[in-house]
Amino acid sequence: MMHVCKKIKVVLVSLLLLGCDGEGTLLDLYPFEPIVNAETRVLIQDNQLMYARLHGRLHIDGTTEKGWFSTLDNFQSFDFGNQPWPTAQGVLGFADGLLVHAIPNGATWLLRFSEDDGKTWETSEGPGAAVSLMQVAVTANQTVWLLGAQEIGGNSRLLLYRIDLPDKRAELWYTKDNTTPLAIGFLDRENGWLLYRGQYEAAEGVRIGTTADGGREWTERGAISSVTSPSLTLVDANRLLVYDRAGWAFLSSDGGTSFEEVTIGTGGIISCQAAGENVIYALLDQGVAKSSDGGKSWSPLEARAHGVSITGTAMDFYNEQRGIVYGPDRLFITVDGGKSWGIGVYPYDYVLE
Amino acid sequence: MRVRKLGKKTGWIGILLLTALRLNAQQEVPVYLEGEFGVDRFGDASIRSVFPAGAVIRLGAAFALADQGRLRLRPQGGVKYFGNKIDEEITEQLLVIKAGVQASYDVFFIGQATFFPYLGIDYNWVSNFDMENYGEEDATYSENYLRGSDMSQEIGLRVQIREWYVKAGYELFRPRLRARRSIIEDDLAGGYLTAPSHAFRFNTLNISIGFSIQP
Repeated sequence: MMHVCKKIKVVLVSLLLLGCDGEGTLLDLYPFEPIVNAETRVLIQDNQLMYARLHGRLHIDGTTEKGWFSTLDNFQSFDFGNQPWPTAQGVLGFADGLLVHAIPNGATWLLRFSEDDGKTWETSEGPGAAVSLMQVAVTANQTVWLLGAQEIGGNSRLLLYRIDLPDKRAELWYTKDNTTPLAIGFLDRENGWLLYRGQYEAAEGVRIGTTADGGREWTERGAISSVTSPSLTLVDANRLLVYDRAGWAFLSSDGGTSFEEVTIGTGGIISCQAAGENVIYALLDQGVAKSSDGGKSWSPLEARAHGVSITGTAMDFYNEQRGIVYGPDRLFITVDGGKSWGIGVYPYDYVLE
Repeated sequence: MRVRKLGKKTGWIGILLLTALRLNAQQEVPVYLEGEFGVDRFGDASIRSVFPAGAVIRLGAAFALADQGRLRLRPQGGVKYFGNKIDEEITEQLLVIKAGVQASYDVFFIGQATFFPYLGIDYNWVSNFDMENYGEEDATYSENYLRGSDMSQEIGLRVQIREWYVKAGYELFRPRLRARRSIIEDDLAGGYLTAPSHAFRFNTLNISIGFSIQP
C-alpha cells in the first residue's frame, strides 16, 4: 500500500510541479502581530528611557535622553518631542507632578524643575560645587529637599537643602558634622526620615533620624547594623522600609525606633514603592515582589510578559493595581496588581532596525 | 512518516470499499466502482497565489438506490494535493486527505450523455509541510507547519458517457488550522503574537475526469 501511495504521490508531484510556482508560503498568510509598536525605536535606539510615570489606565508620560514622550494607549501611539537630556550625571526626584533634576554645572549645581513630565523645564542655581548631592526628595506639596555631603579637612559633613516654590532657591536647612548621609524621605512638608552613618562607624551600620518640623531638628530614633548602601521607602507615618542592593530589608512599624528583618526576595532590591494602604511593590534584580500587609510578608509575582522577564531599573505605581516597571530600553505595565504584564517598549529585533 | 499515515488512511478507505462491494453481492443492490482524477483551484486569491493549482484523486463505491437506481450514494475517499515550489530543492505541500459520501441523481440524458447533479460531504485532514529533495536521495519531509481537520461540502454536475465521466464542482471548505507550537514560540521570542489557530478559506473549483464500472 505504501508503494502505491508513493507512486501516486510521485505522479501528482510531477504533474503539479509544472505549474505550482507560487508566491510566499501558506504560513505567510497565518495571522500574527507585533507585540510592541516598532515606532518606539525612537525611544530606545541610540536613546534610553530616563524617567516614566503612569498617570492612569494606559497613560504614560516620561523622558528619554533625547526628548519627552507621552502615550495614552501604552505606546500603540505616542508623541515624542526632541529635548536632549543635559547630562547623564545628577540626581532625580519626583512627586506631586513635580520632577526635579539636580545636575553638576562646573563650580555649582543647576536645578531643573518640570511640572509636565519633562516637556518644559525651569532652571535655577543650586548648592555650591563642594557639595556632593546624593538624593532629591519631593513631597506632596512640591517642597524639595536635597541631601548632600561635603568633605572639609577630613570632616565628612551632612548637608540638607530645602527649596520652596516658586522662588526655587536652595536654602541650607540642616548640617551635621562627622556624618555620612545615606538616604532621606519625607512623608509631608513636616515629617521626614534620614538615614546616616557616623564618619568613623562601621560601614554596615545605619542610624535613623526623624524630624517633625520640616528638617530643622532631627532626633535619632534607631539603628540597623547590617546594611551598607540603604534606600528608604515610607509607607505611612509609622511604617518604613530600609533595604539595600544586597537584598537586606528591614521594616519598622513604630516610626523607625525598632526594625524587624523581612525577606523580600532572593536577589538584590532595586526599589520599593507603597501603592496603597498596605500594598507595597518591590522591584528586584530579577522580577517583582508584592506585599499586601504593609511589608511584613512578601510574595514574588509571576513577572513575565509574553515570555519576557519583567526587569528594569525603576517603577511607578499609580494605584494598587496599575503600575509600570521600566529600564533604559524597556517598559512593562500591569493593570491587575502584577498578576499579568504587558509590554510597552522592548528591544525586539524589529524595533532596533 | 507522512507517507505511512497517508497509506494507513488510504488503506482504511480501501477496506470500506471492499466491504461495500461484498455487501452489494449479498443484497444485490447495483454498485459501481468509481474513480476520478482532476485539478483544483482555490477561490481565495491570496491562497491561490501560494498554490496556483492542485490535483485531486477520489475513489468510491456508488450504490444505485431509489427510483430505479437513478439515485446514487457513494462512500468515498480521496486525496487533494497542492504544491508550491519554493526553490530547486524545497517544495511546500498542502495535503488534504478526504473521507465522506457523495449523492448524485440521474436527472436526464441527451443521447449517450447522462447528467448527474451531485452533493458531497467529506471530512478532511489537512497538513502543510515541506518536501526536500536533493537529486538522487530520498525526499525528506519537514514537520507540519499547519494542520487541522474539518468538514467540507461540494456541489457540482457530472456528465457521464458510458463508463467515463467529466465533473465540475465547487467545494466549500473552511478548516481551522493550528500552527506548530515551536513556530508560535519562535514568533513570541521574536516579539510577535501568533494566533493559535486560523480559519482558512480553502474553497476550491475542481474539474475531474473519472470512470464508473460495475465489477
